[in-house]
Amino acid sequence: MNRGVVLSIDSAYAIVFTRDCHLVKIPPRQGLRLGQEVSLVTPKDKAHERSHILRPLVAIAAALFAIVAGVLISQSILATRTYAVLSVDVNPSLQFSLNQDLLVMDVDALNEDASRLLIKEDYKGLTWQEAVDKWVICLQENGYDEIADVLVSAVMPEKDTALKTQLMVFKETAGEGEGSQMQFHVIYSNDGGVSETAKKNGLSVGMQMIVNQSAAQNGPWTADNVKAASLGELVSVLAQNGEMDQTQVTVNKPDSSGTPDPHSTSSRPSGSDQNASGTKETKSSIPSNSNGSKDTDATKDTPPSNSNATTIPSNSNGSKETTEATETEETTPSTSATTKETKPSTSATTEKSIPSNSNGSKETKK
Amino acid sequence: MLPGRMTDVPNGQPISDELVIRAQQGDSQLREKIIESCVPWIKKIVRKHAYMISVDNSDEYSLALEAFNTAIDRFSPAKKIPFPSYASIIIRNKLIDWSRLKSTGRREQSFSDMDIGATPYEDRIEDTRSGIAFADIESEDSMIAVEYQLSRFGLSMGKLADHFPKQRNTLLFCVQMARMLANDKQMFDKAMETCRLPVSELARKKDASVKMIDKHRSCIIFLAILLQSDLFLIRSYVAILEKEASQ
Repeated sequence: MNRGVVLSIDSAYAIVFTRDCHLVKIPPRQGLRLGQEVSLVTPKDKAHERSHILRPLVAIAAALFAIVAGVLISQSILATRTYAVLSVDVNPSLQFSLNQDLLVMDVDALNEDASRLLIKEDYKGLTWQEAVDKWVICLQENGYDEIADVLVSAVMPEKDTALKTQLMVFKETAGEGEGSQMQFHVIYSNDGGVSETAKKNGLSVGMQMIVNQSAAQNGPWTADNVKAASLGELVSVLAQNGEMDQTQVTVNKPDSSGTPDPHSTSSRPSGSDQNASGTKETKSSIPSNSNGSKDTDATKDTPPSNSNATTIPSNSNGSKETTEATETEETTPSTSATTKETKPSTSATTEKSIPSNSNGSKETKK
Repeated sequence: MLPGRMTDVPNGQPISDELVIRAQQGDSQLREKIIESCVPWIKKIVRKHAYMISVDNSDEYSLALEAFNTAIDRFSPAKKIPFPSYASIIIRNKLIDWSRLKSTGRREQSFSDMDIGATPYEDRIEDTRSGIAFADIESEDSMIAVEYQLSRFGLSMGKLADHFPKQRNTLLFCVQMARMLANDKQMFDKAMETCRLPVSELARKKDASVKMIDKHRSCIIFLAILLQSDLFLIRSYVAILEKEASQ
């Protein structure tokens, strides 16, 4: 920056003798006095000064831009990333991919019936509850009038609380509508491997959880045969576990699988038998159980408010049937036991062919 | 007609330096007389500066009167500037300051500052609230002296600024010539007296081109006047340039 001494001040300009011995005219600034040494700002100095001011400003602006852009990009990535997978198994079955806001980002039909009915765009952007409702209504409108069971299953991160809470609330409130016959079964897992395995097996996450649960209980359901099973049968597997959270089945596999189930062998392979071993009242239905009669009494005493029992439709009829079955077993215990153990497929088939267990028990009686 | 050595003022009314000195020493009646006799001349300066026909009731006229009074206080024969020239520059500077203040509108001129009353000029200088400093007065007087000497050569700062050498080599040449003139007191005094630059003498001494010296005569005169003045800061600037050129 150049300096100079003010030699003359006019109303239009001031004349300054500069340090490099030049005589220059400058605008008469306020406070200029004759003989005063002043600093002169040349265009070069201005550019230099501007660069001094601008450089940090540009750097700060660039840094801020980078931060804002980073935040926006990461948010957009997070918003489009699949946060949780939620499947609705009614057969036809669907699987929703949810983002962090628990909105439906994508929908996949898991079988032919579903792909026939599914219009993906109708579900995108909806909350998962709205999407489930819409799907159920869609099914009802397309001839699936008598939906008895709906399995809503989700795989979400371990830290998630929002979806878990919503699932719990959904379980409590869903199907309470007037005249609603539907039973909503809600399960979830924090193990991301479940969704990957399900994808490999071509199953919904809910089905995969049932297969996992069945495997843990030495049950009959595998990835191959589970597709052919009715939902009523499958959810009975869950009833044995009785918990919504299925994470333990896969994450702590050694513990869960290692725990011997005293009723597991006898309960196989029928779905109704599995139900029976999963709850107090159903224990009595196990033919091989020596304490079956006692359990039957317990069944009678057990209040029907048991949530696990009510969520599984087979149990509602089960108490009656099991009483009769017990009587049968008492008379011919070895026969019935043999029947069930030797012909697992028959009993399963029987139950499959008849939507409710009541018919099945009749056949058993015969 | 006032007694003493007479010097002409622009309107032809003579004022002697001795009368000014007497007024400065405390002769208030004489001061009044000097001011009264110079009123037409002061009004003329104000009219010229403020582009007014009637200046009797204007602020500029009041300021000019105050500046003229200050010029009486500050005048020194030792500076070899005639009082009218000195007073006219003081009045002009004051009016320029006033117009600058008025145009910026940042501060209203306080007429209490002009209420000189019986306070002597020395007391007002010592008063820190007066806004007058010895250093300012010294440098302003030096500037006035430079301006006066330039005016004798028919030069003004504005013209000089427009035609001042831009190239370093030309500037260095002018500085060398000016230094030679300023160092030779006899030659300098002669130049100031005759109001002519001794071009041939300088050319002979420095073995330089007469044409070149004549072409840059105004710059050489200006630099020589600065080098002979009390403006130490400007002299130091020139010395630094010479030192840099010699290295």
